[in-house]
Amino acid sequence: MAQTKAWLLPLDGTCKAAVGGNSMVEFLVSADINIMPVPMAPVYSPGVILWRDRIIPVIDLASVLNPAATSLVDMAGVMVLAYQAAPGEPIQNGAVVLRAAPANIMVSSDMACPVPNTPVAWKSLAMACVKDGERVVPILNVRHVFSSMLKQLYASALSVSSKDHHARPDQEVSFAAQSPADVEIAETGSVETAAHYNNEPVQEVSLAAQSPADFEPVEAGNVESADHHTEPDQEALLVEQSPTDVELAATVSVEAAENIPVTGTDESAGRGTSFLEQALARQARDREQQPGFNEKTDDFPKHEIVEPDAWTTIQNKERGGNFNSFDDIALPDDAVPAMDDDDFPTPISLAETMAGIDDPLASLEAYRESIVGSGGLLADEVNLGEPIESGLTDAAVLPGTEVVDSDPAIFQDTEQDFLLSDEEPLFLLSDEEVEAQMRDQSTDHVEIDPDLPRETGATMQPSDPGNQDHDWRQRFNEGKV
Amino acid sequence: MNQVAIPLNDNIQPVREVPGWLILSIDNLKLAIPQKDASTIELASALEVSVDGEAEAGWLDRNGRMWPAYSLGAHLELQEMPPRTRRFCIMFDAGDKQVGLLCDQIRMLPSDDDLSLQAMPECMANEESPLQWLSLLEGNMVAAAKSGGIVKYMAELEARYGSD
Repeated sequence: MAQTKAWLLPLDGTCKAAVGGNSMVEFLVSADINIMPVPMAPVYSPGVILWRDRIIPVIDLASVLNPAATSLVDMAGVMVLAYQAAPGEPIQNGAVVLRAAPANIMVSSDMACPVPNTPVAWKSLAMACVKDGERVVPILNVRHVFSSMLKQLYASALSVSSKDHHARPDQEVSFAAQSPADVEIAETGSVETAAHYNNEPVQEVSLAAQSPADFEPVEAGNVESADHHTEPDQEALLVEQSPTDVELAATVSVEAAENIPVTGTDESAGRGTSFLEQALARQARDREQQPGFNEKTDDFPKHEIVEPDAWTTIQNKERGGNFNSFDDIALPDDAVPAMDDDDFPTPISLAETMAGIDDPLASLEAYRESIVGSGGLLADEVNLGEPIESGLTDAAVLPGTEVVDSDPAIFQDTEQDFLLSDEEPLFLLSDEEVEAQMRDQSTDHVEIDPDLPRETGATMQPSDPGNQDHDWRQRFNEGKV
Repeated sequence: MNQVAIPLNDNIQPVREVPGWLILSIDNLKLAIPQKDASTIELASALEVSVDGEAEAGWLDRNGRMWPAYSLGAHLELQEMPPRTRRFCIMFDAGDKQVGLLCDQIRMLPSDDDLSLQAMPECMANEESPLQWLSLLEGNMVAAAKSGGIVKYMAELEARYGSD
């Protein structure tokens, strides 16, 4: 039975989640970090931290799952995670608030279980789930944790919380103008809401039930599939979700379903890749696809970002004009060749059409003659017994095209395509050599050197004498500074 | 002796294409604004105090025209009564008008490269916020915005203030 390493993250006193070993970068205790609040940031984001000369966001997932509990008093630290917004994109980092130190656990396919229905946000935030003893531990989809969907999930959870638990109006924390006072107000979290965490009856679904057929309804985008494993009281919650939420949840399920191998899921034989292993393998693959990542410097190649407007301008310049609308785009006169009357087909008269209908045999013969006359082949002139492949000759191959003989084994052995297969794995999640090889490809990241002299900079301090303020301000207004 | 007054070239005001940033201190918030977006820097004491019940913290009299100036808090909330620490007022060009923003301190960074901007993290984005970038300056976080975004944000705050 294949096992892999994962990290158990205590999001709050009762709720835990896990991430793959490769997604975990560093755990920072609260004494070593300074969370800097960002104005108008969502409530679930207490701010940003400075980590390895970079600014990374901090997310309190507990407040997303339970909006009533947004206190950071019991924060033990933050876990820095790595993720990719999309395959091939540079690796990004973010941090989640932890209420206790993370723990290292080993997970295997026999620990897999369905993602809990509550809190509803798990449907989007978790890519898989395991049972650690009696505790249900969702495995985070790190990419979703640091995406914009968090705002919708929080809004949904807030509405559910306010309806189900009769929250006071002052607990409705707005996104705008977040202040420490706002957080303190929302600190009056109800125990009832916290009781949702992990106390839901776990539906015992065997691994054999996680066949591709189970995911087909979800993959087809059928909303009913999202309600497939829900309890009656949860159906109401899902109905309250926006279509976008359902779509997001379906997206997660589809992505998970895409990792299910078509064959080789025979768990009883102990050689199939489980849902959990594929989820962790997905995290590893996302990390692997990053061309340059250095854990020491955490540097990535810089990409030039071109604004859409600028891009349009560039396109216009390349075309030699300034096109503001489709009306501005006109083809030159010689772009369309002139056509004579002979180029158009001669219209068929109604009498000829009727004659063809009245005499099917005659029209069929005329059709055959027209086909033969044009050089075409009729069905009875084609030797269908000859294999199509044999008709291809070397002359039919385009110059410069490499002819590759297909190996039927490639299409038959799907188990080899998966990372955590018991037989001949490509590499393991804990393979340090592979990680080191990936990280050695990074480039230097340009940062401001705070020690650089800044003689030309000037600061206006309140303690400055008024005359100096006036001189400095006058020089700026005259454009001399 | 006949003397002819010759206008100095220095008095000609070209279009401002000044590089660099203005770092505005608003309580513990460091707000970066492109220098080219700032029109003038005025002393807060030069403002005419607004009457009670107005969103504007004061008005700047310039050539007989009055331009509003606003005071924002560290969380970009509107302040009717500016704190005593607001010593300066940055005036932004807003078309043919001008809008002011009060702040505690102003620091000038001469080069655009003095700030290494990174986009606001996707999970922290707020469409109502004028802040677009984050950066580090000597170990401290700086939130950067375009003056157009700030002016628009203050206008929305004033409109919301009026409706409330």
